[in-house]
Amino acid sequence: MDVLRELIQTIIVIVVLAVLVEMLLPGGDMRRYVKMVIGLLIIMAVLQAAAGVLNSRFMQDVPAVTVSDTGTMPLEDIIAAGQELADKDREKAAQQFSEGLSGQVLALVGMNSDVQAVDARVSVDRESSDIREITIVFNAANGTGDGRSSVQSAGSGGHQAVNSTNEDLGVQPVVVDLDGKSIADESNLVKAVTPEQKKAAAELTAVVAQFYNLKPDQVKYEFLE
Amino acid sequence: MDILQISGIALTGAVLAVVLKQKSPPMAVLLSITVGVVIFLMVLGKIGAIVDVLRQLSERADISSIYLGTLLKIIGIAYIADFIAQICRDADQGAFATKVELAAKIMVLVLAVPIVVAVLQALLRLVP
Repeated sequence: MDVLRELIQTIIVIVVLAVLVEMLLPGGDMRRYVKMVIGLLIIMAVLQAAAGVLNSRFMQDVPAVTVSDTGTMPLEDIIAAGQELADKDREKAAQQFSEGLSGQVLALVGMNSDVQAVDARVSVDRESSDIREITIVFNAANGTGDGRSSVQSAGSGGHQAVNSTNEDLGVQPVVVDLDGKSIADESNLVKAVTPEQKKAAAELTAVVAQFYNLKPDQVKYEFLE
Repeated sequence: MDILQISGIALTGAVLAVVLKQKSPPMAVLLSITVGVVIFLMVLGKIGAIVDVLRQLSERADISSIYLGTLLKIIGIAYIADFIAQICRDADQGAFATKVELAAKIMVLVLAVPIVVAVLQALLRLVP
């Protein structure tokens, strides 16, 4: 019963709409043509209402064949949408290229164990895809070179591991210190960048610049504080 | 009362056009165009209210706004074509008036193509 009431209400609204629109029509020869289109619209509306009652899907959305006022496709809109899509793709490609280069640089720099690279920021020209600048970020607290890692090595106070025959295995005994004070003390060490680390970083940036055929001033480095 | 203003403008324009038509017919045509445009601009602001009502009714009847937009465009084309055709006829250019009306009819039919296709698809789907 509710469905029927809904259908009748919708048809009443459609009839009122049709009468209103018909009142708006101009006189003269054009009236017949406009009335024809209005008639089609009313058929559509009634069919849509009937389809809603029958819960059927025989009504489709607006057909894909749409024509602008001038009878031609809106070329400017198509071109603008295409341009926007191309820009988006180019930006995405540049970002992926930059990320890939960053990974390459990190892998290249990681071969040197004196300093630990944590990040490589690669700036790429969007138009020509050329590398503008590479900034390598090193961690000043590299453990392998000078024994300053978050997992502190025994340092001078520790003893190297030996086997039962007192043969040196070359492995440093490791002491994991969970005491907060020790970590606070270590933070002082982290900030300190040794001249050796600076030298190693400079050498690495030179290698990277040579590898990518860049000018030396295009590759920079910095230490994480 | 807007209707009094509009009537006054139209009457004054008509009298002036009759006088000008004998001495300078081109000026009479220009005057008729001016009066027509002025009257159109005076009622232009009130069309918005009608469009709002139509939009509400179409939403209530679940008619797509695209269809309503097409309908309003068609009505606009019909009015503009009628207006220009009348001016052309006043200027004794019946051929131009016919051409304008022809162009308007073609544009109306072009705009009606999506609606015709939609009705056709719906009717064809009704057939088992």
